[in-house]
Amino acid sequence: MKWFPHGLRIVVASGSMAAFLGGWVLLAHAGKPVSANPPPAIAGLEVAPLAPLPSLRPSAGIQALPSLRGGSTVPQLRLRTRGS
Amino acid sequence: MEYEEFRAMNTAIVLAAEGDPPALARGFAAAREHIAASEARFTRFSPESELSQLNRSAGGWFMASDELFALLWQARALNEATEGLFNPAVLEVLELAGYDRSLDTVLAPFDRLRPGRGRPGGPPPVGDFRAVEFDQARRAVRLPPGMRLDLGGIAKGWIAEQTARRLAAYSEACAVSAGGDLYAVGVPRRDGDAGGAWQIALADPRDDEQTLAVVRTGPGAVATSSQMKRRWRQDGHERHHLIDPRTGLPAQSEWLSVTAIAPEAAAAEVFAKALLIAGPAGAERIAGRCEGLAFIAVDREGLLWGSANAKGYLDHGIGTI
Repeated sequence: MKWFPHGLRIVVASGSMAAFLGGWVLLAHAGKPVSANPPPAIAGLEVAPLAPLPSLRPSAGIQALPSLRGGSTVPQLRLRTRGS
Repeated sequence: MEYEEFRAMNTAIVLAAEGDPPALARGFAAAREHIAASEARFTRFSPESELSQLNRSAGGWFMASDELFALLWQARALNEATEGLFNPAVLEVLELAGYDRSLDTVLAPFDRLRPGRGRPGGPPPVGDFRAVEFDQARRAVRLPPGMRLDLGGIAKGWIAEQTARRLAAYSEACAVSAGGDLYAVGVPRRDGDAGGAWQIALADPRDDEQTLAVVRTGPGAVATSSQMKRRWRQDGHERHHLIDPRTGLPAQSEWLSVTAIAPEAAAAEVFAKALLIAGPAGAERIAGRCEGLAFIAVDREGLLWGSANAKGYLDHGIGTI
């Protein structure tokens, strides 16, 4: 009776494959869903150009400047500008 | 170089001057007196100040002192030059944001002091400062009904410059620093390597004790606006004192601070604030509206950005305002 489990596997695999292919064929030939409120036609519709997004990078006139970070000697100064 | 340091206008004041010591002592005393008198005139935290009286007079003509009229006249020009990014008519929204008393008090846990003061519909629109009327012949000013002004920043710069000009009568060269605003008359001659230029440390806005750069400059003004200063919490939100007049809310900027170098202190202070609000996208255009202006911005990583002419103030040479 060793042939029984082996045969059962083949039957189940074949059945699954046939069901899958059958469903695929059925759906491929079915009618497509139609919206109750179809969108208006946009042919000929003028689309206003969007304003460009503001750049996150500094503009050309703004430059990277050197700082004292990275080990430069920092003088001790009594005059400091630190914001208000 | 002789120094005198004290607190006024809710910030640290530094007087620096070269000259004959007895004369400098008299000059420092005169400078302190001038700062105290000016603070009493322009503060919004005292109901007796001239500014508070002006605010209460909104809707009618107010006869202003020479000092107040001159400052408001300059404010009008700077409001226009900054395309409205500097607008003294922000007092209403500044108070709604929680800054309605001296900062030492605001720094208390504000959530418990004033729950729910913020308006659910957002802040009211900021008044149009161009609607303020001036009568030069009578030295009178009329605010539109309901408008109230805050002259905090511009007044501080203006007072620093006026004080330095007074101190200059007692010294060979002097500088007055009021928090972020500094004005210098002449150049130091006796200060060793620093001779020939004022050296001003540019503090890191993320850590005041750190120095990001040294600005070397001649006579003129240097001012910094920082969104890391004067901060508090309201209804769970972090607030700061730099109001964007376009939104009525504390400005959201990619830059943490902007330092402006300009011939006049009021202009330096106002443009520093306007450039911070404008950010990288609008800074070049705004800066182009002030002749002789240079600026240095610090971003969130502590990197420095600035106008092409700013480099001259950071190199070993001496910038010219």
